[in-house]
Amino acid sequence: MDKITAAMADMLEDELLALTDKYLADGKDPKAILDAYQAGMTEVGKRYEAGEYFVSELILAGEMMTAGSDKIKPFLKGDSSSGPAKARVLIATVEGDIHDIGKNIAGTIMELAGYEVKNLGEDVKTSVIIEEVKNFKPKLIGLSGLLTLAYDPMKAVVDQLKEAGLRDSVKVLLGGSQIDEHILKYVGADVFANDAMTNVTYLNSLV
Amino acid sequence: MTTWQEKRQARFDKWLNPDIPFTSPQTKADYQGRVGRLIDAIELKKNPDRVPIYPNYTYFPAYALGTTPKAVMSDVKLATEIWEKFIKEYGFDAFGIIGIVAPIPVMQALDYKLYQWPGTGGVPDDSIYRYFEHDWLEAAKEYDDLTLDPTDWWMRQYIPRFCGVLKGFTQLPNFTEFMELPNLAGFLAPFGLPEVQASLKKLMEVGSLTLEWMGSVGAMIGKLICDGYPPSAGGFAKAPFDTLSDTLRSMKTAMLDLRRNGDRMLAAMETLTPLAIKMAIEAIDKSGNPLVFMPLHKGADGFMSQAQFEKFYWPQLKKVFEGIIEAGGVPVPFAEGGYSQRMEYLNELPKGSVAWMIDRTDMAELKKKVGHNCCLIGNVPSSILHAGTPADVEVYVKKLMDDVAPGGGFMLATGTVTDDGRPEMIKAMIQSGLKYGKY
Repeated sequence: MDKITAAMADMLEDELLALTDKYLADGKDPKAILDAYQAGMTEVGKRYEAGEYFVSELILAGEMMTAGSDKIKPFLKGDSSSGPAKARVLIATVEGDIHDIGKNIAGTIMELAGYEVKNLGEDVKTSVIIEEVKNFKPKLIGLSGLLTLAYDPMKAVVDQLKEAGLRDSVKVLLGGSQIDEHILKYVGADVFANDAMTNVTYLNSLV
Repeated sequence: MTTWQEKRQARFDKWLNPDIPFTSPQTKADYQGRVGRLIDAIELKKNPDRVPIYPNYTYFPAYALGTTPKAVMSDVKLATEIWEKFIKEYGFDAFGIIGIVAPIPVMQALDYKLYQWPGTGGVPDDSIYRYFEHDWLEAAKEYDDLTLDPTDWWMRQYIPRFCGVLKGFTQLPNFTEFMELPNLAGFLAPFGLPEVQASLKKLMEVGSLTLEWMGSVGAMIGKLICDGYPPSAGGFAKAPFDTLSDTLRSMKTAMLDLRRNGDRMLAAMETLTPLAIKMAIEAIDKSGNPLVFMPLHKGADGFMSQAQFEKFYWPQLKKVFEGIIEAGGVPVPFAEGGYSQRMEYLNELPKGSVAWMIDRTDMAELKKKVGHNCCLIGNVPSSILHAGTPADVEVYVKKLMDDVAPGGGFMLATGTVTDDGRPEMIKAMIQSGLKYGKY
């Protein structure tokens, strides 16, 4: 199984999928194969954190994980989950903005770190976010946006959380390369992040 | 042999002395004062009289004067009135025109699929346009088609995909086959096809519509120059990797291609690099303004590893810079986002040859590391402009002037492209620039 983990960690896509086919055909334990994939993903996360891997590796790792899981899943019997999540996180790009890359990377990194992430997508209306906070009960909401047009919708989310009496139940994180302490204060959020690792560090401090 | 410095001096002379009837001796002096200020900041030979204030906005003039992007994108008369009024009221040393060269009637008539604009696809009337990222280059093997014959790929594959009414172009013949008798009939016959003819007719209609719009924009630009105001740039180019990754492929696919189809990308960029230079030079020849605006994207911090940057981004971008510089033009790259990991590369170009627009990179540190070599433009953050007070803006501008203005080679600008915004904050930036920017 080390070969699977190494192929994932080293971005050897063809080798990884060929090995997966071979192991499954040989009757090896599918759960062990999936665990090896996850160990590979953890290594990818570490290399990203270390500044060795960047966006292309995270995206390719995600693609490899999906392709591998599709092969493995039919062989799995019963529960394949790897234990309960540490906490729930809701992420969305706010109304008026459609940038998704940063938000999605942040989501992937938080999932790799053991959190359950619900991604509401882009140009998400404030009312939808508030509804999801009620239903999904996240520990953290990550609001993303790159445009100056995103600042006021971010503020609207925090204001409406207050109105709905939900503000104390959830932490609010702002993400995007244009976010800084001025916008943090303006919006009334708890923390901001310009990179995907800050989210995880912050989440780990909460749980 | 003429050196790049000599070619550039000739372009600067032409830029300073356009063949245009100035409204008055005063407006001529104003125009030459503004252009001269920009040139002094770029060249790093001497301090200008004061720090120039450079524009970096899309639809801010529309918002500032109480209308919407949709309104100015729909009505060229309104658009040119708003722009002229804004430019004369605000006092930047040059003006940007991106907001008035995206006409909704033209985009509609073309069934233009690259963008969504106010009133389409859920974009509100008071919002700006949205770029629609997509894998227009549909399969990796098309990199090879593009590399072999970019115009053919553009015309018969790419254009029919993003312009709904030009779908008939897929049935066009290959133009390099049109030569001797054996190919004569084979080349011409497709032009008789109803789908091809429909597309050609539609293209002529859209052309007329656009010419009318651009006639008004051109007249406005001419009038503003006569009245003393220079446009902020005369040409446009992109980093070859950005053409692959924001123009032809979605970000996600381009990032996967880095790993899966790297050699194909490199070959395609070999083809695209001289084309980027050609596009820039043709535009500055025509406009008489030697500045080439180059918005940069995937080379910023965080997207690529240093190794990827050195293989897929910088060598090709550097060639575009060198090609523009060699022809006497001035690349004005916009390092949107952060460039902290890329600072050292800015010193690889000749002194005074490139003027960098800076967004989220530490200006004081940049000044220390590259300020002796290139002009820096920036970087009042959108966060302060949005959430701060005019006094906050003044504090930020004063610090910029202390850190970056000494020794010349600095222009004041917003760090982010200003889409919407608070008029009093942009005015505070300009007033602070005038107050603290004197040499």
